[in-house]
Amino acid sequence: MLTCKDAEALMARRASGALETDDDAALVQHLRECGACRPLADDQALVARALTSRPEAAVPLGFTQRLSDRLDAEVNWADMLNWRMWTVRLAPVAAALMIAAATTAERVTAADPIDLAEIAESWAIDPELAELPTMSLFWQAEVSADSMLEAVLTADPDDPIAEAGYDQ
Amino acid sequence: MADAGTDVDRELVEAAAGGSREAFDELVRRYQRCIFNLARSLTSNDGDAEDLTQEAFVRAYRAITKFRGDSTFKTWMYSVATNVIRTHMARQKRRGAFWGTSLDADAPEAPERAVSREDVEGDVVRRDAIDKALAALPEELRVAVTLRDIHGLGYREIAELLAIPIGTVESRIFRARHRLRPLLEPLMTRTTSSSDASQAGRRDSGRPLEAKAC
Repeated sequence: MLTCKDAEALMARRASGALETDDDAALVQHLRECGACRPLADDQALVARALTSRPEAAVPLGFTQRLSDRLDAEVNWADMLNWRMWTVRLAPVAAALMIAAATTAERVTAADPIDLAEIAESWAIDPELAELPTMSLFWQAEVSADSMLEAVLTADPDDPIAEAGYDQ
Repeated sequence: MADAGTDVDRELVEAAAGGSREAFDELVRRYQRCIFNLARSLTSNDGDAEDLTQEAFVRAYRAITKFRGDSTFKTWMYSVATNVIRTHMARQKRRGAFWGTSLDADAPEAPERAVSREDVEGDVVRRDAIDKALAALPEELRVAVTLRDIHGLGYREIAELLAIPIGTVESRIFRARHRLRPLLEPLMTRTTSSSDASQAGRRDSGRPLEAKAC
């Protein structure tokens, strides 16, 4: 026995023409006995029929072209994300960068050599000491601790820094 | 069993996913009328309907490679469009709340006050009357009944599309029609009666109402 609440779902389906035969029989039985549900069932059918008869609106003129233009723009964006396209288009730029890099590297190579004695003199260090291989490590911009230790350990015994190291 | 239209769709989707713009354009041609009418019936505004239809197809174009074929392309396209339209409606509602105006203030007048039975003979007036009546419904009822009665989607399709139980779909459609009943009075031609419920039931259950589906 259907309740009125159960019947609502079936009324909705029947108005859509989407009710199974068994359910339809149960609903018809309920509607015979329930005066409250009968007008509701009629209303469901009437409204469904009215909505189904809604005349379609035509797609606005030029819609397809406007959408096509938007999709074209989407395609262009997709192209920008395509690495193959970038590889081809950026090849000349990459070549120019490589040439510029090569030119710059040559300039660095051709730069004047650093005069360690001159620097040592300006720092009031004995020029003879400054020219010793171990001492010259101090004037380099970047020297690792390992390099420094290696230089001290393998230095000429006349090197005063090495001597100091041995004395330690 | 898949019909011929579904098979054609599947081929077009595969081609479009493979990069064929012509295939996607054909899908647009096949579904633009339906998607535009969905947007039109849910927003009651031609300008918004066109913008939203465009947006739906653009999103579908972006995501076509992710379409796995679990549902038909039609259901998937309706799902994309419904999401776009619902997002738009939610934004409109928030904007209305922020500025202290109700969304209903922008909505057209209910047809019971604006349309007479003689007026609805014309297609445009009849369509506007229906869309205005739908605009008076809460969004969740409007979407469900529109998908079912105007676009002819099945209950199961609607449930999948909206990610809600099928019983909720039935309930929403029942309540939507109940609320629309007085609003659509001028459009109704009474063809059934409660005294003939059995006969009407047999007729309706055997033959689904023919909505103008894609």
